[in-house]
Amino acid sequence: MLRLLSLFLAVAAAATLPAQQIPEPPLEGAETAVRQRLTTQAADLRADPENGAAWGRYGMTLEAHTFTAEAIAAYRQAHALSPRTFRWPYLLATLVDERSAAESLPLYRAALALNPDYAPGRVRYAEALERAGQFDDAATEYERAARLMPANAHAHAGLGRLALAAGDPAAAVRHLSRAHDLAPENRSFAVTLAQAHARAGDRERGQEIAAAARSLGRINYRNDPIRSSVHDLALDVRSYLRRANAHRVHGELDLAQRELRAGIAIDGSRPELHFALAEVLAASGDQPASQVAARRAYELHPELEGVAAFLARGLFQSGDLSGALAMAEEALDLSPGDVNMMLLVAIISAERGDVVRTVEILDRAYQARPQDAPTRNALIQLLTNVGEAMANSGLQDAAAVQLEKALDLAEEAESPDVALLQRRLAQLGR
Amino acid sequence: MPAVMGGGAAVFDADGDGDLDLYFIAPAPGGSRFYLQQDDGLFLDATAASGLVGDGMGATAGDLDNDGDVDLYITRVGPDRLLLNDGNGVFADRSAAWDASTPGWSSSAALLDYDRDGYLDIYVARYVAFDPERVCSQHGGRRDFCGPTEFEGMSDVLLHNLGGHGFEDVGASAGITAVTDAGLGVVAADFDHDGEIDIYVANDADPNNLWIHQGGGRFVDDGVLQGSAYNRWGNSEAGMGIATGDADLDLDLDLFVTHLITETNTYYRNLLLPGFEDATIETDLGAASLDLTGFGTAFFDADNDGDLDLAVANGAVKRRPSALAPHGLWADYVEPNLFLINQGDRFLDASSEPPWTEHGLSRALVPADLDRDGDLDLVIANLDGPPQILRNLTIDPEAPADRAAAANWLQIRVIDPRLGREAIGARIVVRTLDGPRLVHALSTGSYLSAGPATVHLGLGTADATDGFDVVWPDGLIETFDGVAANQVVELVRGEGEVQ
Repeated sequence: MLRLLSLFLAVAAAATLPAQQIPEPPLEGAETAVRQRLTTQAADLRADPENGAAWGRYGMTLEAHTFTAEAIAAYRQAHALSPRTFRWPYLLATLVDERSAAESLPLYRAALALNPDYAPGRVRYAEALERAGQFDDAATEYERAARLMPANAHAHAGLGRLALAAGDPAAAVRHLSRAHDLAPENRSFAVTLAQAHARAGDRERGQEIAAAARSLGRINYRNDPIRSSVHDLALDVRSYLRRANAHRVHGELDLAQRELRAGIAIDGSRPELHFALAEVLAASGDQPASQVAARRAYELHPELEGVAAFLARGLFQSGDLSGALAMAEEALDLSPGDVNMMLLVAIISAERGDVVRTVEILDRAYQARPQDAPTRNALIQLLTNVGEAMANSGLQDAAAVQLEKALDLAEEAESPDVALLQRRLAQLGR
Repeated sequence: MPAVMGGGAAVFDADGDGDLDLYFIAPAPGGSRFYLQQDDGLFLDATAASGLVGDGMGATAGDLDNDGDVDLYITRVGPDRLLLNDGNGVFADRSAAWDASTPGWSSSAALLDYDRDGYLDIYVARYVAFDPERVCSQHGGRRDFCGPTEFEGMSDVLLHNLGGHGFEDVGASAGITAVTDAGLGVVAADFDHDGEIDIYVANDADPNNLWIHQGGGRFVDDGVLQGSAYNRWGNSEAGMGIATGDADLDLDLDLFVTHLITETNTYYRNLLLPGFEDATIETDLGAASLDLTGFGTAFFDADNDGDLDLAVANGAVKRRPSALAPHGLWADYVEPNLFLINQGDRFLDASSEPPWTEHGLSRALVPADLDRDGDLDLVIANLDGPPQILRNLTIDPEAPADRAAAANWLQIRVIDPRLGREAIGARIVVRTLDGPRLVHALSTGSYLSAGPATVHLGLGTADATDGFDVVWPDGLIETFDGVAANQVVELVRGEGEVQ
């Protein structure tokens, strides 16, 4: 009976709706796959304009391709036609929230009335309350979300933010530490925790966390399957790359590979997709397939950032020194400041006995004064090895020049090699 | 991309005749324009005669050679330019002789005398290693302007003034080249009241930098722990312009940073010891900006009531989700500007009336009393059309003596006669019946902008001040007697009582 009544209400609501025009986004310049998908869905809607789910799907596709205003209109219609479906008012709320937290609150409430236990939705509602300045209500919702899903890092982070803003850094540290433990890859939680430690008087701990946070990515992911399902619909190259990158961040290399292959299946002419696939395959340990994908990217766009260097490294690892050297020199032409490529050229040149090129490229690397520790250490090691080889060949002065450069870099890095290099130079009369 | 990020504006007295002139800097070759203010208050295009031809992103204005006139440093996508004033509003390019041709894409620049040698140094914020060949698109594949994350950020530059004869880039020894972020806005002031001038940089998509001067020309970025690098949510935002001023009247400098659509602008309230807190929500400064992309911004006392109001110049850098104009080249990008009135602990959005309802693509914004009637007008640079001058009608320029009883004002020039110029960086506490007010003599801020270093202070109903405490850039503190309201007062170093 209740079901019948709901159905009646839904039909009544639909019957009173004015005829809704199907929102048509400006598709000029859009990628072919995007244009085709939206055109097809709009045609389906014209054939069945009372279908709430079809309106919702259309809204999701629109939103996935950043046609936000059109997506809002489609979600509104989906919600009106299917008022018992949680997904449509929820997606509508999150989009409206991007422009006005206050206007999104009734939409969140309508959605959560249909599915009160959807913790990611509770968190988003709490965040909207926080943005709207309703801090007490926000705290209540964060706590409720944390009870529903104790592992929801965003709920704990919300409680931490509220505590920090309320002048209770000790409580902020407690909540934010929980969030940080649950999502150590989340930079936002880390930097807020660092600030809370500093506010609580422990600047040292704050500095440690802040320093570690610098290496974290800018984009923070959250577990919200309904929202994620929207972005999964995007058909443009950028979206395939973004989704693949998200999988990579989480170590889901198979899923990253699947995304990239799907993108290539839709448009195989995009070198970025092939190069990203090459990187994922390399991370998976499949070097031969990785090189094939990188080679394809290179064929499509030889100047694509990083591809020549990637190929050079792969060729070197496979023992093709000639191919690696040619590709490394090409990479250096494109990125003259790439010290790692300089080192690769130096290693291969040394291996082939080309002393002039080895010394020349090592000097260029030395002049570049790399600041990242692994590259600098590798350069120190190479300069030392070349210096020793020269000394063994009786070229004492030339050897000293190389070792002095190694010493200079080692001193700058406060490396333990300093004493060793000083002793060796003393032996050479320096 | 540079076309959608420019351009800047400088408001300064170029020819030393006592009124303010206007320079609008445009990224397009030959697009910049210079206007001299005439005795009748009208402006005359004097671009060619002044030597201020060419292109650029923004400018900073100050007396760089201590010869008593205002010089210009022009930021560009390419080598920057130094233009020295001959005192009559005619400028000569001395970039090469002064070693001032900073390469790369420079955005905003700020003047400061960090080493207290009496010569103004320049902090140059740099943006990204721009590649004009890069093609960018939105989701869906539609072509659009690129964003900063498409390119590598650039380290900033600190130009040490070598006695008024040249510059030396001391960025590396100062420690500021340790980061390569996409800098757009910059202000220099003593944020932590330790007597040393600090630098705050708004970065686009990267965390903002708060370079705390350790003394001896060394700076350390303490933005994260001091709460001004990331917003309340721990997110780095698309920092564009910066407003700075004592918005909550607690005698320290607060910060307001403008951002991209779907991000709010952010108000960082200075708490001094622990640093800053994001008080955007608590002060109602967020909601009005969520659907807009902010650039130039300034705290200024629009109604002379004694507290600082806010203006923001807006305009999208990528197609908006919904266009606000029916047609036109920039229909997908134009937006209205914002005006927010300080109501004590909150700000009220007062943008519902013209001229704030007009749509445009605005960038630089500078408050200045162009008509010298005792209230602050606004100069706004627009990239989709001519600039705007919003004349403030708080005081009728035709009858300034008939001002409302609660609109008293004071303008303060802090002069160091040894240097022959205004003491940019001086901190002044003005003692009034309503309590002390903190102001700074700063000529830069906002976005790609430079304004006069003269301080404007609304006094509300007070018809006089009780006195002034001036902290000069070299640390000397002097106290001066109070003066009657509604005048321009000069506080001259050496004429006060040394503390």
